[in-house]
Formats: sequence, structure tokens, C-alpha cells
Amino acid sequence: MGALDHYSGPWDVRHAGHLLRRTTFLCSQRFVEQFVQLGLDGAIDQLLTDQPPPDLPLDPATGQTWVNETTRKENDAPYRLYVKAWWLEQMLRTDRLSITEKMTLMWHNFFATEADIIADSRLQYHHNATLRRYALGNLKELTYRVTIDPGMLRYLNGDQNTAQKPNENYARELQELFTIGKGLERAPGDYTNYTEHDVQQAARVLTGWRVLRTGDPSTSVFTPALHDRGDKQFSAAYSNRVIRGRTGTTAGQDELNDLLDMIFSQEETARFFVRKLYRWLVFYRIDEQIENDIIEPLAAVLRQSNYEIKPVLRILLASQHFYDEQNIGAMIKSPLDFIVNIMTTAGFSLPTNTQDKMRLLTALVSIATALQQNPMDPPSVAGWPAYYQSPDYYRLWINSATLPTRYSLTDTIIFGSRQLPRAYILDVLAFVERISRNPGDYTQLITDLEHELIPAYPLTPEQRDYLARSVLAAGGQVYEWAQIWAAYKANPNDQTARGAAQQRLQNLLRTMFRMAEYQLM
Amino acid sequence: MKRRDFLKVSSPLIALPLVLGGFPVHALGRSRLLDPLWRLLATTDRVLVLIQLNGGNDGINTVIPLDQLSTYHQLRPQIALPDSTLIRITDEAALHPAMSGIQRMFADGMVAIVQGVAYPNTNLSHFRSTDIWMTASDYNQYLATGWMGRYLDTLYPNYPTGYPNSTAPDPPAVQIGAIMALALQGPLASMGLALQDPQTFYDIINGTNTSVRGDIPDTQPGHELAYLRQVELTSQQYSTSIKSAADKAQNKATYPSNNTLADQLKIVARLIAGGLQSRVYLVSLGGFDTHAAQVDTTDTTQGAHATLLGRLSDAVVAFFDDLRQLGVADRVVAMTFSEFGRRVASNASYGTDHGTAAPMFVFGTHVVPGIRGTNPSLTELDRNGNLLMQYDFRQVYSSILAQWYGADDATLRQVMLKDFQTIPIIRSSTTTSVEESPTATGSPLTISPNPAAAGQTLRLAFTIPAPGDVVVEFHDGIGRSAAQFSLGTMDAGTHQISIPVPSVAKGTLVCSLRAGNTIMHSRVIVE
Repeated sequence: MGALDHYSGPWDVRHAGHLLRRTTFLCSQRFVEQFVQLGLDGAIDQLLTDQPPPDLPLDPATGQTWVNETTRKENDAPYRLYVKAWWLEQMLRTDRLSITEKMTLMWHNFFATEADIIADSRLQYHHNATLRRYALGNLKELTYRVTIDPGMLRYLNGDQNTAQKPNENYARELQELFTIGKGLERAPGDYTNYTEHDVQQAARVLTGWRVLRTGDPSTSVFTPALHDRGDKQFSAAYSNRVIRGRTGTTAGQDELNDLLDMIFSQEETARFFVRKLYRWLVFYRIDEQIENDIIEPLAAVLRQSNYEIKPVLRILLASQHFYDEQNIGAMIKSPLDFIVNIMTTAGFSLPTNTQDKMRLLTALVSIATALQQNPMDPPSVAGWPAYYQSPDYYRLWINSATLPTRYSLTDTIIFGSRQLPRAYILDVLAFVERISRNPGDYTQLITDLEHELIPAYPLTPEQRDYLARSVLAAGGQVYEWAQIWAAYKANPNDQTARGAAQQRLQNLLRTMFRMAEYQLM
Repeated sequence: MKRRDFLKVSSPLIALPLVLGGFPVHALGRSRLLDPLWRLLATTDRVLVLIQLNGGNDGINTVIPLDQLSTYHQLRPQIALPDSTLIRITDEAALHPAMSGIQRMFADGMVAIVQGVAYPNTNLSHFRSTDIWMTASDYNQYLATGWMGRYLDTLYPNYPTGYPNSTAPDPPAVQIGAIMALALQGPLASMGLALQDPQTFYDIINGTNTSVRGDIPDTQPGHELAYLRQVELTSQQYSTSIKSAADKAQNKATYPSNNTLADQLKIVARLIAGGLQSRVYLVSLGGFDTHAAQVDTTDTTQGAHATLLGRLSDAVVAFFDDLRQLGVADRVVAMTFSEFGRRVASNASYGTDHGTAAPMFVFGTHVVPGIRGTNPSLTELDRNGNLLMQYDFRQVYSSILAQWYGADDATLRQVMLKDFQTIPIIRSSTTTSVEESPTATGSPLTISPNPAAAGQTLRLAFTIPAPGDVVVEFHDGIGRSAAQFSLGTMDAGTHQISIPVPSVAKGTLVCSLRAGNTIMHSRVIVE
């Protein structure tokens, strides 16, 4: 059976849950059940359905949006945080089960920019909106849009790249990170797939684009006078292609189209993208077998579909390989997965008041930052090292500094702290009643909690036993839990009965959130 | 240096083992044998602080070549610093005006600058070039371990298995921050522990319950789980020793505020002074990728680069001031590095593009002060308009390993993967005591196997210049005599002898061999 053949095993909570966790930021059983009902193909149809664009970000001070204003905010820094908060809100949405935000984040990691360097919240927003608009569209078209996107022009100095003073920054990253990828350096300046000479030539093609200080913040302008009109001769890596120099108002677009045609006609470009997609959705290790069985055929599909993304996603997400036991639970949660998992598992809803909502969302952004995934401000144009740094990849999210920070977030959700508003302390009593059929039965309670919290990696019988005896029963007799729970149910307003049940559950949840298995998805 | 100065300078080096071991100081005395012995023991107290300048620091605006000022202005019209603002440190070179603190340290003989450091065929990608600096690879070589990880692996074999233990109670390296640098990656695991604040670290970690862990299957998810468990365990094991070190010392100097590098160095100073036995600390300062707005358009002495260099300078000055007041300055050397320098010609955006060679700074009381190499030529450039290299960065690494940690040739080759010519960066001895001790020789004493296990036989090979009575003695990590063997009179020449491994607790032993007036030392690890 081929690795990319349609998955034919059981469609149950384990497999539907795996699809859900890898394609959204959610993990709760209530969403998994929807996927089980839909069946594999139905769930994928649901995930790949195009979504209307979300509402624009609002200024909490005025309740109005600012992202289309014609000049930059004088004091722009807080607005950059508002855009990040707004994006987190999209990731937290539970009203639709769509792959859109997971893919938008993938594109952000792929065409990475830093809000700090763009330094204009309007451009930051529109860049993100472009990634979302084409998230399930066409790779080549998205690359075109990103290349002349004002935020990207600003970030990689494309807006300062002129015939008189070429700036190679974007031309280099376009090839190294955004399309064909850098191969082994065979000789100085020869990166197999392209050369330093090609960087210089691509920079000449890309001359003349500007971002105006005043005007529509969603578009850039092409200025023919700043464009290099000469022919651009590429190296043998691109079969010595010449891009004819143009003049006039469409010169920039025409030459850019030629450049992308040239790059996308190279077979390596499709492979480079598929590897990135694989590391985003499945696992980081790509050995010869994965290369032959997965990367190569999917790259062929991508080329045959003229770089449409959906056909590739559809095959990968429905494949035998995707549901291989080696892949389920093998990914360490990214900080954003971790945060949204907790918030949605706890069932917290966002405040309706704009300012309260902003306060909560910006708190979550700072937690993500402490965990080393500051959305819209990755460490560099290569995105987060967890997706490219060999040999550790996802493991880079976890070290002796970030793991304790993860613990303190889950502790905070259970016990509260000054960081989060009071409404965001988990009501553990209500929580177990919601997720468990019979919370008074300790075996059932622990089974249900395991399914809800640690669905990707099964615990051992010894671990479950430990949770019951040493944590829930606090070293006493396990049957006491049934009495404690019954006492609380009989008299929910009695502070003593309530407190006893609550304390046991808090300790149990705290321990489960701190299990290494909780970090896997 | 006079003997009196030596005592003053060296007291922190020797105080710790003596006090902790409760060993009678007079017993060690001032014998000819023991000065170099102390020096060997003291190497375990030596600390290297790596300061990473992320993004590619513009070396030409950091150390300005005074002999080429007109070319400098011509090639960097938008960003050149006005001549009158330059801080002259030698007849040929000046520092950026934001670096007045480092200039004072330079005048005090606490700064070595190595000019024109890069590697052949510098890669202009941040990521790849950072990896090359971290792993100490060739431009076309891909390594999975870091240079410091490989060195620490020679001192902490098989780490993390069997650690912490009584002789190695602390993490080999500590990184202040939340990302683990590739430089610290050893063959089996990172040799570093990352933390942001010792107290918080301890408080949180203390609440983890790991009593039931279950078996881990040999599967992809199982391997990831094993990794998580290892981080959990290592964090837990080290959190107490880190907190107690941090609690033992309080910073004595005033550090600049709004300076993330200063915040990190502040913690490092406390950990060192508090007795943490980690060998390496890694701190970082980001933002050096100054393609645009490197300088203010109206005043080139201001802007992003000036702010960064000012932070570097202020933080390093406060750090060494603190270390001095805490009495541990002589145990510490700090070194800057960055993935590359920047293009000689400025661009049209008041910035500079990726370049090649740049100066490295080494700080400490034991550096060979001054500038190594010459000003880079601003006119003799490579085909991309970048500076030519004078020193390979691996020469600097090798020099630090050899001169600061006392790594021998075999270790250097193992860590650096080939031979690099060293350059004088650290003074050949931290004290003059060895030179004053005429009987100490540099002749090698080799011991095999090393590491050795109890019950095994050690083979010692050595050469003595004159006939004499030969005595071999072993001292443990806190200076106590562990075993002594009298071998009788031997002739001049090369000898090989066999003796049993001393039956002591595991750890590093210093072996001293005395033959008449000749003394030689070596170390052996007992596993």
C-alpha cells in the first residue's frame, strides 16, 4: 500500500483527533466528535472550505479600525500589539473548523516578517491579510503578492532597491527561503540551485517598487524611473535564462512574472515547499524514504496543479502516512498550539467588551512571546527555528526555561494569578462535569480527563493508577473520592464539601498538565 | 608581576577549594610542587562568557581604521562617524563614540581585540553563518554539534547520563535566555541549561511531580517524549544548585537599566560569585542586522548601532566592575562574536548589507591587552566588496581553549576538528608563579587510559632530564592527597611505568610526578 493512498483504517476519536490537532489550534473532544461524525473526507472538505475574511482589528480606544488609514499612527507601537492580539483571536475561534489559521501561520513562518522592523501596524495587518486571503490558494500567486506586499517590501528593504542603489536583501531571501531553497554550497557563491550572481540579477529585476508614506497601506507602487532597464542574465543554475529588461509602468510586474516563471519552472521549488508543508503538518524528519514516498509525489501534484495548494493538502491529510502511528503524538506543541489548546479546552469565551478582550488577548501574546513564539515577530526571516533547525526541530520549543514557563501558565489557569483576569481561572468542578460522564468514579474521571487533555499520547496503566492513588486520593484510599464527590453533589453550596472536591481536582489537573505527555500533539 | 600581586590576584582561585575542602592551608604551603598544582586545580574555576551579537555587527563602525579615514568617509558617506567623535585607542584604531566604557577597560589592559575575524568563503545568510560560528564548521560543512558542546563533552563525558554527580554538581554551561544555542550542543544532548531567572526557575520546577514516568517505547512519539522527560529531569536536578548559587551572592555594581545584555550579565555575575561550577555562560544582544537606519540621518553618532554598542559597552563595564567587587574577576574571560561583519560601502538606506570579517573583543584581567592584527584594508576587497579575512574565528576559539582552559593539542584537534594556529589572547599563565618556579617543567606526562576505572592499571609515560628519585602523587579536586607512590631512583630519559588507579571517589585527579628537581602534572578522570 502506498504511503499517499487514501487512509483506510478506523475513523475514530484517535484518528479524527489527530487531523483536528494538526490542522487547527484545537484539541477538545467536543470538536473531535464533529470530525468523527463528518468522516475523513467530510472533515477534510470542512477544513478546506474557503472562509470569508474576518472582521478588521479595532482600536480599543475608539472601537474603530485604523488599518486603512492613509498615514501611519504617530504612536504606532501599541497598534502592532493590537494586530497580534487580533490574530490570536482568529486562532481562538471555535465557530468553524477550518485549516485557514493554521495555514496562515504556516505562511507567516514561510514568508516571515517582523512587525518590529516593518514598524507600521497597517502594513503588518495587510501583510497578514494577504497571507490569509491566499492561504488555500495558489503558491505562485501568493509569492507574487508577497513580493510586492508593502510590509514585505519594507521588511526586506525591497522599497529601497533601485537601479542606482540595488539592495539584494529580498532577492536573496526569495530564493534561499521563499521558493527554491539553498542547496549545498558547491563552490564559493554557488548554492547549487542558484548563485550569488543570480541574487544580484534577481535584485535588478525587483528594482523600482516603493511603499508610499501617504496612501492606501495595502498596495505598493512601481516607479519606472527607479527600475533597472537592462537585461538580466542568470546563471547555469537557471539554464542561463535572460530576463529581458523592460521600461514603462508595467515593467516591474512583467519582469517579476518572468522571474517567478523561471523559478517555478525549476523542479526543486515544488519540493522545497512540500518539505516545509510536511514539517508543518506531519513531522520534522525527512529521510530518503519520506523524500521518495511523500515529498516527490506531492511535489509532482503541486506542479501538475500549477501550484494550487488544496490538491496537495487533500492528498496529504487523507493519506495512510498522515495517520501512521509513528506520527500521531510525535509533534511537540508549538507555544501557540499550547496556549490555544488550554484556552479552548477550558472553554473560556472572550469578553465582549473591546478593552477587556484586548487586555486578555495581549496577555496571551506576551505568554506566547515568553514561550518563544511571538506571533508576527519571529526571530528572523527564516521563521522559527523549530521548523528548520536540524537536528532538534520541534524540540527547540522546549528547554529548561520554556518548560517551566509552560507549567506556570497551566498552574495559573488552575489557581489564578495577577496575570490573567479572574474569569480565566478554570472552574474545575464545572469542567469535570462537562467532560466526564461520571466524575465520581475515579477510573472514569481519569479516563475522560486523559481523553480531553492528553489525547495524543496514551498514558500507561501505572501512570493512571498513580494519578488516582497518589494525586486524586492524595495518598489515602481511592474510594474516598466517590464520597468527596457525592458530598459536593449533595450540597454544592457547602463551602467545605465544595472546597474538598475542588482541591483534589485542582491537584489532579495540575499534575496532568505538567506531564510530559501533555506537550505532545 | 610581583609575588605579592600574584597572591592578591590569585586568592579567589585558591580560596574556594581550600575553604570548601577544609584542607589545612599550611600543608600545601609554598612548595615548589604546589604552585603549578594549584594552577591546574584552578582551571576548573575558569569561566568563559560568550556574548553573541545577533544580526551581524558592523565592525568597521565599531573599530574604525584611523589610517584610512578618507576612504572610510568616501565609502560610507551616510554612516561614517565624524573624526572628532572617534575614541582613539591606538595610533591606528579608534572605537565608536558609544564605547567609552570599553575604552577605559582597554586603557586598563582588560581588552584584547582581534581584527578581521571570519572564515574562508563567508556565507552571507544569517542562519547558515550563525550555524557555522556555533558549530565551528567549514563554510561547506554541516555539523550537528557545537564547538563548546564538543569541548565540554571532553570534560563531561556521556553527559547527561550520570550527571549531576559529586564532582560535577552543576550544569556544564548556562545560557541566560530561552533559546538554546547550537554552540552548546554536545554529541548526546545540549551541555547548557537555559534559564531566565534563578528564583522563578526553582519555584516553578519544584512543583513538578515525576515519580511515575512509565516506559518509553522506541517510536517517533516515544523519542519526543524521552526528550521532554530529559529536559524535565535536568531542570529539576539543577534548579537547586542554581538557586543556591544565586542566593549566595548579591550584585555589588550598578548595572545600566533598559539594557537586556546587562540584565543577563547581572545573573551571570551572581552565579559565578555564588560558586556555580559551570564553565561557560552564553548571553546575547540582538538587533545588529542594520540594513537600514543604522545611524540617525542627522547625526551618525546616534541611531540603532550606537544604541547597541552603547549597551554592549555599558553592560560589559558594569559586569567586570561587579566581578571585581565580588572578588571573582580573575576567573572570568568574556568574548563577543557575531555571524559576520557588514559591507564596506554603506547602502542608500543609512545602513549596511551583510559582509564578512569583523573584530572580536575579549575582556578580562588575563587577556593579552591590545589589538591583534592590523586594520582591515577598505580598498583591497573580495568580489562582493567585502573585507578580507585576517584570522579564522576558529583560531580564536582554539586560542581560548588552549590558553584559558589549558586544552592540550589532542583535545583541540578533537574539538576543532583540525589544527588552527593559535594567537596570543590569554596571558600564558594567569600568574607569574610558574615562571618563578624554576623547577617546574613543561615536559609532558601522559596517562592512559584516561578516563580510567577503579581496579585498572594506569600507564604513565614521561621523560626526565636527570637521574633522581621518582615520586608520583595524586590529589583530588579539593587538594587532598589521594595516593602516593615512591618509585625509587630512575635514570635520565624516557620511562613508562604502571601503577594501580587510586581507589578514591570518582572524579578528576591531578597527578604530580617529581623526579629530583623536575615536576610535571597531568589530570586523570576516574569513572
